[in-house]
Amino acid sequence: MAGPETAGPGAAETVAAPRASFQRRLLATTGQKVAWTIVALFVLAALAAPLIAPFDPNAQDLRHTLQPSGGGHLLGTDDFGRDQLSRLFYALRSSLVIGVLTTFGVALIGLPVGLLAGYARGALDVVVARAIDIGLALPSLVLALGLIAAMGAGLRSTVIALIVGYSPYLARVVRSVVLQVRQEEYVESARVTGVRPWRIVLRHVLPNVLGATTVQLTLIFAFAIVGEAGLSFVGLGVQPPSASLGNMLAEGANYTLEAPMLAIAPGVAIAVLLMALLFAGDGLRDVADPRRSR
Amino acid sequence: MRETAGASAVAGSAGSAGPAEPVLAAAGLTRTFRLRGGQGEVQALRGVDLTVDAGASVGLVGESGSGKSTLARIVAGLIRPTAGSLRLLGREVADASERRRRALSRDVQMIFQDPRASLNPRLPIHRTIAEPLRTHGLPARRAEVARLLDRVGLPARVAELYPHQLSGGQCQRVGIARAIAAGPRLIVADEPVSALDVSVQAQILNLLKDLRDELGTAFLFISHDLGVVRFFCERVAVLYLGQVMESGATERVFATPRHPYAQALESAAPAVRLAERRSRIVLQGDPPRPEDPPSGCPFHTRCPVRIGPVCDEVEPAAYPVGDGFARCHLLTPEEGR
Repeated sequence: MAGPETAGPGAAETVAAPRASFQRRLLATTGQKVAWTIVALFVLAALAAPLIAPFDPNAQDLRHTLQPSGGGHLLGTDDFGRDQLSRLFYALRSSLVIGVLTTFGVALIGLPVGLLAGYARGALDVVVARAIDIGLALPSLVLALGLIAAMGAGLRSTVIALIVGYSPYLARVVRSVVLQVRQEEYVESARVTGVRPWRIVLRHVLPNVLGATTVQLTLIFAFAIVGEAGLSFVGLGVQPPSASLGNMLAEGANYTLEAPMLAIAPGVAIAVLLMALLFAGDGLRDVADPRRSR
Repeated sequence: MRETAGASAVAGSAGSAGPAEPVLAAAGLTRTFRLRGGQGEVQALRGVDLTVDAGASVGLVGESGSGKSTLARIVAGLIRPTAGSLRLLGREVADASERRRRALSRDVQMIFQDPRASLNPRLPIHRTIAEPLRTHGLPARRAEVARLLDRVGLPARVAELYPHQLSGGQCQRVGIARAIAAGPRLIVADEPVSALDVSVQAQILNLLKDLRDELGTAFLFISHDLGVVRFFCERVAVLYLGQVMESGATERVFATPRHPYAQALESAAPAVRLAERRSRIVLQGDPPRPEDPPSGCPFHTRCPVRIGPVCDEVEPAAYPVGDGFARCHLLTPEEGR
């Protein structure tokens, strides 16, 4: 807790330096710059897919299947002769949409549940904590498989299944951070001041939990993309002919010898996006904490 | 019963004329903590009797583990007593609901030991100071915050800063501004200066004294520093293993302490003038573990003047001394019974 004293020796009054701008603090290191650039490029590619895709991602050309790269097809064509690069842009689209929706959904469920359980404690906490444990005991993907089996495959079911699968992870982290934060003297002083419990949670607990939550949410965003890939890989996620990183990987896996690029392209995209997201999450956490800003 | 006689003696001016209700009146206040893992309990407070009159400053001294902070937290409403009675401003709050307890928060405020930790790191100072005002429906305009900052000796621009941008002393001034904001009648100060540099300690103590004289707020002032208590408080209670061993007017307790523990504490305090210096009573051994308190007098394991088996077996009652009391068998008329 002992942050560096801003007051110089003998200086009766502090002249605190104004806080550096948000962007400057976020992009403080080269790693951060690289990570955020990559994330931005992926998002841009997804958003601009209809503009930058050289071909219709679903247009088949059965005379030119499994082409290597070249001849206008930068990443070659797949087994239906569809342009692999165009499909990759559209796949990013569905992956990012699923990632964003899942992350929002998880935040919407996991954050209040964790806050409530951690701050209320007592019987409510016991019940919620057990529910979280049960949620964690079931492997998320298996849970998701079961839910999709019940709801039918598709983007909507995929998102719902991923939200249900990942919410316990966030709730658990939030709850444990809340248990620490509620012991802090500033929370106790708010109680002594007579601040109502819900207001203490919103004003004193929540902001101090968000740092840890941010990191966890970027993780969940990354998990959601992998989760979608996994579900689509086994045919339960995004349904063909719509492209997703997962179903592209699955289709490509059938032609690893004839056209290795079909599996490599989506695989590399997933790996790079994931690493960039994890780095970016670290950076967000540092910025979210005023004590870490210089 | 003698116990109760002693208890009312603590009340100090309770005997004097006037119906003025003390802001704090604790009787037989007890707090037990269960040890982690369900193995046994610790009695942090064992039947504490204490009174703070309106506008008075009562010091609470004792070693770490003596229950000082537990008492502070009970009075501030952070935890509940296990048994006993606690009246704040004439209202019984020992088993009050959280809602009823909250209703008293405007009148009972607290200053914490660690000034930085007691401020939300994510709120600018003006929001921290405005919080008690908002909470109690008082005008919380910027001008009011600036006035409070001025009152604790901070420039108005501090309002825009965050806790990590302030020094420890400045943070404590903010904590004090928050504590006085809603005009409380009792402030619990839990070691308010012990985390600060000595030079800053003096400034903060003077500030607290000025504010007290100006506002007429009563203080329950907790410290292990006898000099600080002597400077700030007109009455003092010496806590040992969750019991008040001696209490009374500060001058009396420091000049002629009657309990051997109070004597040892007093002799350990550094004297300013050489002439005042007397031989120091060095206590042998560590304080007993609170989860395993000794029988009889809690102090008998370290007492330099233990008189015999009575100390090991019989818990001494509170014998009136001056306008306070002391719990020691040496004071009993039928010594060695």
